Amino acid sequence: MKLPLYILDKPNLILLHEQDFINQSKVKAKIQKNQTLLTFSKTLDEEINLVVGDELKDKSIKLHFLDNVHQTIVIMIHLSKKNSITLDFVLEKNSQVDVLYLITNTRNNKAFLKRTFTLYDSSKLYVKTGLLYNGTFNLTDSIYLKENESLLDYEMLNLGSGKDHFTVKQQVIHQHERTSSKITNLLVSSDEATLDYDVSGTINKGMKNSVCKQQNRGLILGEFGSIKVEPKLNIDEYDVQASHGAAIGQINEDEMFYLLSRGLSENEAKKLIISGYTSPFLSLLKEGIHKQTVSKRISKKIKGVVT
Amino acid sequence: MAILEIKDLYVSVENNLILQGVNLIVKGGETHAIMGPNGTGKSTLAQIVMGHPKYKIESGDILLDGKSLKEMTVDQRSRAGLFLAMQNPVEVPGVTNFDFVKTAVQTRLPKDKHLRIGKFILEFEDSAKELKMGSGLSHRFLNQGFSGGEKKRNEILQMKLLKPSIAFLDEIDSGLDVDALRIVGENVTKLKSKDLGMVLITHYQRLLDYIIPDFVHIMIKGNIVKTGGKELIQKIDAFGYDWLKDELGIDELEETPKQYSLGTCATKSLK
Repeated sequence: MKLPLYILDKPNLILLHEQDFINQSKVKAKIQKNQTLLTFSKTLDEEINLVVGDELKDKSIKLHFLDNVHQTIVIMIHLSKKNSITLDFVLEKNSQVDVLYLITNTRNNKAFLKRTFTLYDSSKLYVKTGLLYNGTFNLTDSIYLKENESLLDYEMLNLGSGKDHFTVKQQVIHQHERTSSKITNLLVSSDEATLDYDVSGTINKGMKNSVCKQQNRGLILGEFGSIKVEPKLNIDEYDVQASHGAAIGQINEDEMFYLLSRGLSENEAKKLIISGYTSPFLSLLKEGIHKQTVSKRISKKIKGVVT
Repeated sequence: MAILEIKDLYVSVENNLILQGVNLIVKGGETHAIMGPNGTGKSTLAQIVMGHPKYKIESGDILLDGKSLKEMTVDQRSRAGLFLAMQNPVEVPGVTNFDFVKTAVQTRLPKDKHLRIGKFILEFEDSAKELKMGSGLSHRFLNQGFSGGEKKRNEILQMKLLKPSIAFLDEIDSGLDVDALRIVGENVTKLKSKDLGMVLITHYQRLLDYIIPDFVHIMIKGNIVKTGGKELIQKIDAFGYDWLKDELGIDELEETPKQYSLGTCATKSLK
């Protein structure tokens, strides 16, 4: 399958697709039998674009960020076939990584993605994921905050339409004192799409002064769609901050009345309410092709609900 | 100058008759106050004028400039010049206050005409400043995390920018401290003109100290039972509504029970 031009037309491209491996960046790459290892040994001023396409079955990709590296990276996972991908992030001491994931495909299919993030001393990971896949998608995220003052800030925008089915498991494990995690999920189901989320945060005994927060918001637009979120906290230490919550529902009558009473048509009101889910995510993206791509994908996903 | 006419209006909600033959005429330039005990239909009147789908008109009519509102949708009524400052403004997370008001103002323009953003930003900021609403207001999500007073001021901000011809202000004084009440009162008074007819729904004299009404109506059991001038406010403030019992032969002023939601569950599936 050919990848869309907007994906390929990127500076500092690293491409893993079918039998191809292209590295136009300064990132050190090593291809082993079952794993592609990308090592970030120093901060690169430019944004790195990693494109992951088809035929990566049974292979994993590992991104290793060495001490003090500060890096911005965009990972586009664009699939056309049934697929299973494993991506591991390792952040060493004082590293800081800002990563944007865009997960899309060309036609309905089935895929599995497993991501593991391991954070060491004072490392910081800001991960934003736009899950805009069509079909059945199974995502498992495991985040290990292994050392002092490691921090995770995680934002997920997941839009489902048609008969999409998403099963997402997110688990954060605080394995050291003074570690922080924040997970925000913004979920929209239109048509008959089902989104099942299992979100858990674990603070083991002795992991004092840790902060573990989860926030989930879900909007069900279709009569037969569903969003199910199970936010869980497993806390075995007193001296911590932890919170979780989920607010899921349809557009309620009073909310709609309020917007209509200001002159917005029903279509405009729905658009505005949906933008309440998509805009916070879009606002995190820099102006440019990625933002445009996500906006277009969002419009496609909700075209049955608003015109 | 706009004219709103409410003619012999009977309104029900879930088979309970709430309004029972209300008649009221509001003209541009006039300020009306509607007072009355809890549960007598004051808010119902405001909501039905705006077209809330929960309420059903059993008989009677509401006319704006001679045209019946019965067949008009809520948004059409708004664009025709009606405004309702709500008692409990809803929160819309993720939508900024500025984007919302901008979209609402844009709906009033012809389709081929676009809002002049620069001019609108200045107008928004000036209006917010007059209401002493803080500089970060435009970037905050609509009513989310707003205090009770901020929500009410935000309603008045929208009213200033949308420039309606007939406005209902439903208990805009509830939840306001003394200073906020004065600010809201002064701002609403500034809006008074021949182009704006206002209906204030309130329980207390204190709002009407700042916004002087031309007419005061007392509503009991779904109907306007007495209309007068400012002297009525003082009488209600001093003696409550009991004196009307004797005068009008009303036996009891009981409150209609209301249903309340206990909130949203953490997990919800519509399947």
